[in-house]
Amino acid sequence: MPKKDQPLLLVENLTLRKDKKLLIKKACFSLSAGTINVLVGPNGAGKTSLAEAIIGYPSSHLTRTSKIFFRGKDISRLKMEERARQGIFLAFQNPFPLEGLTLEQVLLRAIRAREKSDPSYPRRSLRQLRQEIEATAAALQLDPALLRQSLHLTFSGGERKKIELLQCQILRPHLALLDEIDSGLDLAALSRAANLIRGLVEGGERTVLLISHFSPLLRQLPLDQILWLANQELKVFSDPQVLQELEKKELADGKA
Amino acid sequence: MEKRKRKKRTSGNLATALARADQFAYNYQSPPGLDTQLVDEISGAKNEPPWMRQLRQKALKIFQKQKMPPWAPSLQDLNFQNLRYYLRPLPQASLSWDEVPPALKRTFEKIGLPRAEQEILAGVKAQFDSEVIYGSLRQELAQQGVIFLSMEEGLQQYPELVQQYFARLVPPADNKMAALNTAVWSGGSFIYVPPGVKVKRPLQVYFRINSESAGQFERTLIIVDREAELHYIEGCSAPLFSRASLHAAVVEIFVHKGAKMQYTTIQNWYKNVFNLVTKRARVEEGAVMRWLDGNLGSRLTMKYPCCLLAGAGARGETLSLSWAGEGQHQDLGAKMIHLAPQTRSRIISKSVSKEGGRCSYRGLIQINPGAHQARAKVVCDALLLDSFSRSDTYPVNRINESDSIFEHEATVSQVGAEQIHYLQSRGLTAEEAESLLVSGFLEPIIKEIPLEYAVELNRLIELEMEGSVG
Repeated sequence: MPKKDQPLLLVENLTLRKDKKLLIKKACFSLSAGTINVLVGPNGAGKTSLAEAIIGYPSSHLTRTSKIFFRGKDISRLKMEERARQGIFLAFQNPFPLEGLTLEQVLLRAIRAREKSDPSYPRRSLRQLRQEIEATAAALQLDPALLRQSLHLTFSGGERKKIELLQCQILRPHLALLDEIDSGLDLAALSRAANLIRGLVEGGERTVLLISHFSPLLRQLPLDQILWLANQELKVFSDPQVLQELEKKELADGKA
Repeated sequence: MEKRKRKKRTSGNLATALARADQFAYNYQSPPGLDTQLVDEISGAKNEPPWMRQLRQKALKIFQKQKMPPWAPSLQDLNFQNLRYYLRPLPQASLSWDEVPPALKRTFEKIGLPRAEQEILAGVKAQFDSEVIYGSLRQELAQQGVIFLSMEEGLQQYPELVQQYFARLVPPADNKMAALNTAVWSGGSFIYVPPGVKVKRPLQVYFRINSESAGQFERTLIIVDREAELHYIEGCSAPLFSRASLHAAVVEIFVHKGAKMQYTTIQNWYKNVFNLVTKRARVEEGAVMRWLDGNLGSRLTMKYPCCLLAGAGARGETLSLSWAGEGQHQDLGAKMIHLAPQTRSRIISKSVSKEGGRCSYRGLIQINPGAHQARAKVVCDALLLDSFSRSDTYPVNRINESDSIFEHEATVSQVGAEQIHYLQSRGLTAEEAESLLVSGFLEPIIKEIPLEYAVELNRLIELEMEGSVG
């Protein structure tokens, strides 16, 4: 069991390359259990790549000295599915359609995989799961007909985000990496998403890392920590007020 | 006897499940090769009427003369003179499950044969090599007047009925393999469903080739009389052999006015079997025929189930599922011949190719003059699991009636790394991800298969998927 005072995620010395381009140099940060964190920075800075590196998506390359500890264990060399089974979840910015597979089919497999590797993972019956899926869909005002269609195949941008959030809710990960979960959502949908995200961290066990631009979503959430990624450098701020300054800075940099 | 060799894991997954094939004593095994004397011997052993013996001899001549069609895949590794054309395992036809020898029961269990005595099964006949050795038919069926026999028994007990229909739909000259089957046929089913009788539960048969270089030439004749209904299921699996085996079956089905028939096949021959099968149905006025054809095994399968839509409003449907792994070629399709007005046909073909396997779709839609307002639809979807596997489509359409409607859709897709990564991010291994994507692709056909077969088919597909991703 992880110790009380130890962070849920600890990243040390993370240096990341994608397509031979250096994106992040020696980043260090940690995420505590029960917190909402946000990762901001200009386009192309490597925010998505950082999230992918945490879950082990095979597109980016970490240097050998880069270390990622999750719940006290070094996961830097684990495969993506092994990290997922330990409770890391990534909501994709642009999820790829899965023709012929429904949400339920994917979720059931994912849950079975979690159950197999984590004895403390709650066991739920198919009926309970279906009820939870329906309730979450209703909370997100998601058309239930979509649940029976090929996952992401004909979904709109907003529907894709909602479906990713729904999966996060049902899978109950320890760490949810939510990549631009707010883009394509209207204001009403944003506030429903915010409700869901607040619910995720309730109880102080689960942690959220949002990747976002300076979105209205952030104003609806109690933020514990800001990560700012620009020019290969990752800066950590504990005061959410800094967001406004960063936003101004990004605007100014954009104009320069 | 040659020692059985274990093949490497990639191509031998099913073999490991099925390989330890039980050894059987045969009380009759013909020497390799085929001539008029052997044909006479087979006919004599079965105590057949002269017309059948003459038909066999005539068919043999046709087989010896006729060539395979020019488009057919190569059969050069198949030496017809090295095959044995007639085998009969010990013991002969048992009457009840208790009389079936334990070794045979174990084999049945291994291939997943549903217990014949179980309530859900209407009747089970299992063909082991060339003779039906176990058969049971529920009394209620017999009381309804349904005849469910081996082809030999059918010929003995209902010679006139058999003569009236036998080889009328697939004459020996139809193709070289049909001629061969007619000459040396052994086993298969004879089914007659009287007018108005609806057989509620599927009748099932399991076929297996169990001897090296055995040829299996079963012959099935099904007559569904007016307004009657039948679902027949044929499942095949064959254990490991070291030399090529040949399976050349002929199935003839007569679906009379207003009747409904579904013929389901799950074919899982081992990877050295040549499976060259002719299946044809004649569908009368307002009748419905459906072929559901799942092909996972064999080295080469050539099979194009055909519906002759002979009566007004007749409907034909073929759902075809094919799977080709390393060294396999599935040359499959369907034929729909519209002979009458308002006839409708639909062909849905789904194929998966991996590790260099090849799936070909070969189909014929023919709408004859006079088949007014006929409608035909073809949907062909191919899935490639890697860049060196192959899929091709050879559709032939002869549309001779201007008020008919014909649609053809075809797609080829590849399982992409992004899809696999997505599922890995949800905790599935790459193998599980690929397997799940394949089952999603095949789902529209698998859902049409009765549950116990669908479960088995899914399991077979999972076994085939094992180790396919590095």
